[in-house]
Amino acid sequence: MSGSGDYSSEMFRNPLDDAAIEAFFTGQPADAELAPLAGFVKDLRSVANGPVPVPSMQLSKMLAEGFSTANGDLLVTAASNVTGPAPQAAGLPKWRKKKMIITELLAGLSVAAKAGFGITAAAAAVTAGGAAGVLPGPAQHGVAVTVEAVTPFSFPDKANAKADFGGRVSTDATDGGVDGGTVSAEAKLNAEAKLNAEAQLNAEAQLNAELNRPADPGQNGLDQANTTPAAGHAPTAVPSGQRATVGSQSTAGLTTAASTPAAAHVPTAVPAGPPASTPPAGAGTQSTAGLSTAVDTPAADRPPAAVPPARPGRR
Amino acid sequence: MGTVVNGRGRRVGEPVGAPFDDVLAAAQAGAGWAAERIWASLAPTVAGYLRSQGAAEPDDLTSEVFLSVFRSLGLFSGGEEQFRSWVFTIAHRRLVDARRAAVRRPQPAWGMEPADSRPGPSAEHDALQRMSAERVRDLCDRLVPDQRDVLLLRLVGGLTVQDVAAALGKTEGAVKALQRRALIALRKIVDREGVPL
Repeated sequence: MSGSGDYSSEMFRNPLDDAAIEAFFTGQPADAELAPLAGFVKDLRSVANGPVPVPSMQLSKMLAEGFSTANGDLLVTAASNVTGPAPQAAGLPKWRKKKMIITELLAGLSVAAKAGFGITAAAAAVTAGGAAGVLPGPAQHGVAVTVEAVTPFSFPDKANAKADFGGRVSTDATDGGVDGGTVSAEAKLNAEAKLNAEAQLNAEAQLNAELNRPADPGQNGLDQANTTPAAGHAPTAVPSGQRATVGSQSTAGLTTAASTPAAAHVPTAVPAGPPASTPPAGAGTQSTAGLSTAVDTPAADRPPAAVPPARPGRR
Repeated sequence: MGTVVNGRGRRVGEPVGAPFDDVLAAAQAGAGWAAERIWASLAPTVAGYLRSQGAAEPDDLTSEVFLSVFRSLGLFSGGEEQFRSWVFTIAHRRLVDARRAAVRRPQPAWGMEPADSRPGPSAEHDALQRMSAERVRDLCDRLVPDQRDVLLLRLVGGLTVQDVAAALGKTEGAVKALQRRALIALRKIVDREGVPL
């Protein structure tokens, strides 16, 4: 126990250095600056350094019986588990288990292995991004160049499309400037190529439209006639079409009809139609012409005596 | 029962007696006598450290510390000084746990008790010891907690800067700075107040 003069009232004169502090803590003769604290240290050790404390009941039992496993001491069980806690009965959530597995896996790797793992993951990510073509321009170009150099694969590279332009600009800049004539010629060639391409596309579109148009109506008519119950009486051919007048069409129709199985009932002549310049005939005129035509038919003996008046509301 | 100072000037408490390696091996094998030897060697210092830190029940806390020590004894490997540092690391952590528990369940009796509450050789001796304990407690309480931890682990536990850094989870530089500030703070208090003894 220290006396009343142990704690000095003098202030520090010099800053403490590490050697003086270490000497103070290891019990060696203290530096003059720390000497006033010697009494405090002595009291502290006196207070702290007491007799052996009284152990608790649990500890007393352990000290008396030791760590024997024969009597099933709980402490023995605890001591046997010092390598780690027992697994939890309820288990951990799946995400926590996965996280622990990854953490333990990484923790077991050396620093070099961790670095290699990280670099590999980063390279894989960059390569995948390069394959997808989603990297920024310079990065995409770098990845594409690297991959194409070491593998037979080719990656999308937007920079290649502009590389020639860049090289040309560089050349122009170093060989005396831009050649205006060359630029103009190239522009003209590009414009012509564009026009030619458009014309070719239009021609192809028109040709496709022609091919998709329905075939000769006459041929279609014959085809459809053969599908009807009167297929056996359908004409086998259609005379070549003539873009002609009404009269010639009628004559052609008679000729065609004469070649059909019903040739015996074909009228021998067709009355001439009104001239093209004549205005459309009225109902009476047409009716009269119809009667005249009917007289020339095999049913000439049963023509109506008169044409009934047209019913109202009907043309 | 006295303390001894090793070749480096460190207080190491009561010597184990037999070669430390033999005692440790026997304790790790579960021998009660070896555990008893370790307890007798280190328990007084550990209790003193806990008492200096103001633990409410330093003896009970010391028992808990050594229960933890013996339960995890199989994990330890090293010499006697490393073992001492390891024990004080456990003691400090149990102290922190006890403080946290006390914050959750405030206890009125929180302070430094004399090292030995049993009757001393004389009433005067008991009185002086009680005064010393109160004075030391007052000075320690006026230090920043980190400074107090470093100071007590070094002075009472006898740990090196490296050991203290490992026990507190700090760098050696931080420990050196803390112990320097602690000494300067103590010196200022003593100079200013002229603590009567």
